[in-house]
Amino acid sequence: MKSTVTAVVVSHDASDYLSATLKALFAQTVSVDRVILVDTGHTPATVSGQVETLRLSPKTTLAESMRAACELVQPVEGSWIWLLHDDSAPEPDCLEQLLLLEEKSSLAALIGPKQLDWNNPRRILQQGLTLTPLGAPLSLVSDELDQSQHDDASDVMAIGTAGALIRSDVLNNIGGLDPKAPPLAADYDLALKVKLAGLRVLVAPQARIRHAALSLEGQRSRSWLKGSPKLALRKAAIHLRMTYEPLWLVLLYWLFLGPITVIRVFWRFLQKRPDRILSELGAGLWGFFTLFARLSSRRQGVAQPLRTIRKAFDAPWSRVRETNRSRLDAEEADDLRDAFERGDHELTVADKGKGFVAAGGFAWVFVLLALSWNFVPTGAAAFGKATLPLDHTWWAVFSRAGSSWQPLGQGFVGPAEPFNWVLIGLASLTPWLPSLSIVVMLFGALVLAFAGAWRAATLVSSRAWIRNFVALGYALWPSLIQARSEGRLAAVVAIVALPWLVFAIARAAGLGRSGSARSMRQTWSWVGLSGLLVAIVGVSSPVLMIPILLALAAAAFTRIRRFGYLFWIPLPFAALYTPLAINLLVTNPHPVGLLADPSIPVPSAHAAGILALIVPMGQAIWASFYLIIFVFALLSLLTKRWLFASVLWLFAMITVGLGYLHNNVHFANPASALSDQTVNGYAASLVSATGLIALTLFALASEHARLWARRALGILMALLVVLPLSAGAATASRDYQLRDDRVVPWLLDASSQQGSSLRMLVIKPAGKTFVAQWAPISGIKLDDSNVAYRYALGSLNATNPGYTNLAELVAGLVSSNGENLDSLFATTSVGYVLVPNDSTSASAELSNSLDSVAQLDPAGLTEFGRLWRVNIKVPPGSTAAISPWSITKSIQLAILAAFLLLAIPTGASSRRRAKEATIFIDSDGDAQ
Amino acid sequence: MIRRLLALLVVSSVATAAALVSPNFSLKSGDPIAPHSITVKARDLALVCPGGSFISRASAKVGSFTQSGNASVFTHQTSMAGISSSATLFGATPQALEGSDSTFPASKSVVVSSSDPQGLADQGSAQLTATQIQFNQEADISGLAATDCQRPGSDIWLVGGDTRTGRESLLVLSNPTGVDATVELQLLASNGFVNVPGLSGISVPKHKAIIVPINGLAPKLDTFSVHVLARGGSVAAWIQQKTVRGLRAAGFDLIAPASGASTQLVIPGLLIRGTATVDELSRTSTNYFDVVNTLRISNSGSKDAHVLAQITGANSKTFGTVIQTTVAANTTADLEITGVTDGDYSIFIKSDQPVRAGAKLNRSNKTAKPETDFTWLPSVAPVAGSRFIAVPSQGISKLSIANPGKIAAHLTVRGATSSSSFVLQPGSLTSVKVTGGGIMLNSDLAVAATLVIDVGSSIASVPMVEYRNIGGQISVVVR
Repeated sequence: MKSTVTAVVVSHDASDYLSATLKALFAQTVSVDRVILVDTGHTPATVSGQVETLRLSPKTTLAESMRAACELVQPVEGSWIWLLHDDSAPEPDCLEQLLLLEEKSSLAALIGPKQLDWNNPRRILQQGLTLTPLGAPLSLVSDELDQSQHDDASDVMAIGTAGALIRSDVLNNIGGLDPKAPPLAADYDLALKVKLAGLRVLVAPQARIRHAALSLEGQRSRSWLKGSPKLALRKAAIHLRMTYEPLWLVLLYWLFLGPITVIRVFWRFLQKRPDRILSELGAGLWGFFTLFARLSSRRQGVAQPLRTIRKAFDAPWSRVRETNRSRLDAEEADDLRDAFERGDHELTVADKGKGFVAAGGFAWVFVLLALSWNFVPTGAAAFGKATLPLDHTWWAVFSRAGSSWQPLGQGFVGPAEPFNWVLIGLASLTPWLPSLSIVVMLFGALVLAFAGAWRAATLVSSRAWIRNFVALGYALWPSLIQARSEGRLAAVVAIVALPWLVFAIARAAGLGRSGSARSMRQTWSWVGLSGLLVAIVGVSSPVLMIPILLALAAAAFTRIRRFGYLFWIPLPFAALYTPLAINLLVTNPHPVGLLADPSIPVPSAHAAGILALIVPMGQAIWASFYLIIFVFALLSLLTKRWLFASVLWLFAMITVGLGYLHNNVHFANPASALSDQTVNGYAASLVSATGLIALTLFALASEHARLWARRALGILMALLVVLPLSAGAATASRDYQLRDDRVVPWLLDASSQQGSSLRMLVIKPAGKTFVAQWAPISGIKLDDSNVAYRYALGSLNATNPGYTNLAELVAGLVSSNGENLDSLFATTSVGYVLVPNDSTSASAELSNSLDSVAQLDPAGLTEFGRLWRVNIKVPPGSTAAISPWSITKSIQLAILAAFLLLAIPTGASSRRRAKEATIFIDSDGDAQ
Repeated sequence: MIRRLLALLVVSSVATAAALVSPNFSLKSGDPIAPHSITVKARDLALVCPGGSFISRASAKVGSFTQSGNASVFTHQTSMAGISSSATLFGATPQALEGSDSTFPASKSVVVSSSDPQGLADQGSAQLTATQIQFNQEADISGLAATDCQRPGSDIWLVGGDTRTGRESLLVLSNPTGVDATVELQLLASNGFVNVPGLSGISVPKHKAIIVPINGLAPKLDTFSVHVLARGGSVAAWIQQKTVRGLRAAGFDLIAPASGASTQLVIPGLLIRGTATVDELSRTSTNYFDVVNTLRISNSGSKDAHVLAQITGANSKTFGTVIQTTVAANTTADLEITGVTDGDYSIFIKSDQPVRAGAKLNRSNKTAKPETDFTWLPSVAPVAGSRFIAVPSQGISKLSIANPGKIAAHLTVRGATSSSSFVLQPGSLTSVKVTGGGIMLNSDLAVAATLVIDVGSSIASVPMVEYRNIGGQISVVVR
């Protein structure tokens, strides 16, 4: 019996493609019997020839269009419907090949052609569909050159509807396309229903159709797919899983759809595909809230046959991996081609210069470690004016970051110190002894700064000696040496991370001579790293964010094509800093406090002028020789890169000016003398940033100088800069002790580790005033420093009754006049009283008074001072009742985790790095 | 190239200008904490006097000491209505003190207290002060000893003492509180802390006085200071120091606590007399090797202290001298005061590290069998305002006042019958003869004062110390 074929062309606002499609339809070697055009476009399609037009609303879905067309076709045996999209033009023998296959297989009910790229018909777009073992859609072949390598394929799980030939009676029996299925799942749904009817779904490789895939390319209106193509794809995957998996698995899947979506979001970050995040979230929400619609698409009694079909046609994992890798490679290749067209060439080996190891980097590392002899970690914790140990456990440190409640005073409801996130990062290096990481960090600071500055120097110079000098100059810059000597961890972290940040941003922005990221994945990777480094530097030295944001803005506007990437770099910093910003802008308005240095506030020498900020005070004259670097830096203005050098000079002046400004701003510091209660800004990070710019300018001057001048600069640099700075580093004192990680006597430390949440009252006499510190019995540690608390203490003392109670308790204790203090002890949860050792008569006097207090039992003289234990029953403080988690913390953690995943280089990037050199050097014709 | 040179010129000009001309400014951010101002009543002031001298009777068991004779206690107390004063010998019932000046004998430690239920008084010596004096002329103990009655404390440094042959240092610990005290001692000698058993866990029962013989702990020690740390109850502490030359008792004193460690100290009361006799004695007889006046510096810090001691005379005839030395960390050093003539002196000490100090002042008569005595002058904290001292009626008493400040102080010394006002230049001293009873010293600036008492060739000293329990308007800052 001769088959009759009715072509159903579904058109939706693609008139150009429709014309080509209809033209190709009428050019078939086997002509169709009837052509029905279902037009759902906003403007009616203009057609010619024997075409029956069915005009439908633009809101009509593909399934509804199909149903409307099929109603015009008599569903009898031997009658076929050839479904064409308006963007799918069949080759002339396409229908002939489809019918040929139909003749060979009496059970064939759904036959699909090989879909080729519309613009490049040598590329296979799709040739049959299947599912992964987890039920996600997978195209069996995609983005491959058509070399007839897949021409023997036949039975498949599903095919795309573009160019599909369907038996009209079967279509009628199975009910057509499922209107509840998302558009991109309808193909699977149709094919699986055909298979469940006992019929075959085939691909005819010889039947070829060009398909523009306008929907998937995002060239149709979003309403056609009910969202972006990425969203539609993910919806299709969720629908298929919830329709064709066993019911118990579907319900489980639905229950865990939230966590699954979150995991998939992070996985997308790891894949460097942040563009898919919204579709993952949107589809997850859609799947969760349309459970009943998905369940209504399920069919009863088909579990066993479905299992058989899945078993036979699901792609094995090896196939999934292979397909994914092919797709990634294709995307990478596209990116590289685009980069090449933009002119982002890979540098030749000669231009790259020697690597870190070949340039003697490790030798300098050992020299710097030797210069750090005074900082060798011989104790578990650093203990000094500017540094304290961390909490004993990693979890305790973690619980202090991002939390909205701090165990300070009677419990402080306010933002955590953003710098605590850096402390967590450090603590993660030695999680068994968090404080050790600080000691190690201070010991290795010069090495890390050296390595970072060396990387940064590769942006401007290819010469190993210049890179080494820049890196040594930065690592030995007096501001870093001084910050480390004093144990100012935040400043040290900011200075160490700064050159790494410069390098990462330059790579993300495609700046500098060491080449830039040319693929999307590589760029996202650098964006991720830059984001984390910006967060580290920003929370360690908020004032340094001003020049960094200026530099970032300059980079974004000079590389406007990268704006979309660079825009995201400050996000992690914003996430960490926003709670504090809100607190200091809205809750307790002190906007200048946003620039306050984090960690323990320690005053720094007041600089009488900008010069005084840079010149090391009170040191031998040779210690200032290094300032000649600024003279060398001026020479860069005479090179051919004078314009770039001028910009760098401008930045240097802005940075050092900010440093001077910062040094003269006095931030709240209740821990200082009562008459002042402020601490001035510590400008070391800004001075180091100025140093880095000056060294970069030196590198520019050297790079472009003549040979004799270069040699002279090298000799002068070694003699006048590196040698004096090395001597300064070698003789640097260590103003902190290395010891165990306690900040309170053993007795209290042991109690706190057993979970006691009593408070400790530390009383210090200051004339007729007594300064009381209300602390957990574990003591005040480095992770307890809090800028918001510093700014809030004034109003807390004035308004909070808890603070008034504590003041009354202190007054009662110091007078020891026999009044009953039981209720004050109870309301303040004070379980211990400590008077620090300061050998003053006032302290002795105070101790004398405390000895007379009936509620206090002396607990001895400890290394931290004289201790008394409260001998009445005191209710514990509220620490234990407060969860370390908060919404703020979850958001911050999620953003940091996302950027961390983004920063981790993937396997694909590594493979690409291995390939790219060959590709581009060959194309330049100077392969070496 | 012109553009490059221009850029160089502009940049270098701007950079130079910015480096040289930086505006001077200061910007403050944040609200300072306003201290909580709280009025509290101070604990009642109670002072402890050691009582009669401690001696070891031949009949008693070794290490057992008993108190010998009666010390005389002179008190001066406020007569303000609503405040009552009393004296309580350990183990006895309280005896009310009437009027503003009182005297009574004390065979045992005695607590002199002032009850102020309403918290009316500002405490200090204006409310209550007491001085104890005892003159011994026995075979085994001879000399004049006086001291101020102390407010008990938990952290006391005593700078003085000697345990060489013929010298006895007894640490007197009195616990007037109702709680037993446990005491830990540190002996800081010329070569560091003395590490011997028996220095810790010393129990001082409530309302008891005990003796810790330092000779037994660290014999033949010429230079040391004693650190007393009490837990539980508070204690008062003195060193009862005596000298025996051959078979003859030759000096007796009660060493009072020194003021707190500081980089600037002052020791008033170095009233040197009989220099020629002392020089001769020390030159001609080995028995008198210790009659040279001595300054003792104790450095309990972890860094070496570079000390400059200026021994300043009261007038142009007593020029004084300067001693410069380094006292190693955690050591005590003795420095002989030589080359000074008879006259009134005070010692002004400057150090780059906090130190404590005391000075031994010797006396002798020029007889065939010279009698000697000594007193340990502690460093005294300078105080401004009005304060009192109870001056014993025995002997000749001189109030030695030193001004360690940088500007002249206006002083008034007023007794029951006389009053004198004068100006004391910075870095200078004066000595005012005072008679028995309560003597008021008023000063517009902080000055240090010590009462030096002569009885024949015997000498004793009483530092003028303000004891004030914390009370009144107290400021508290909570961080």
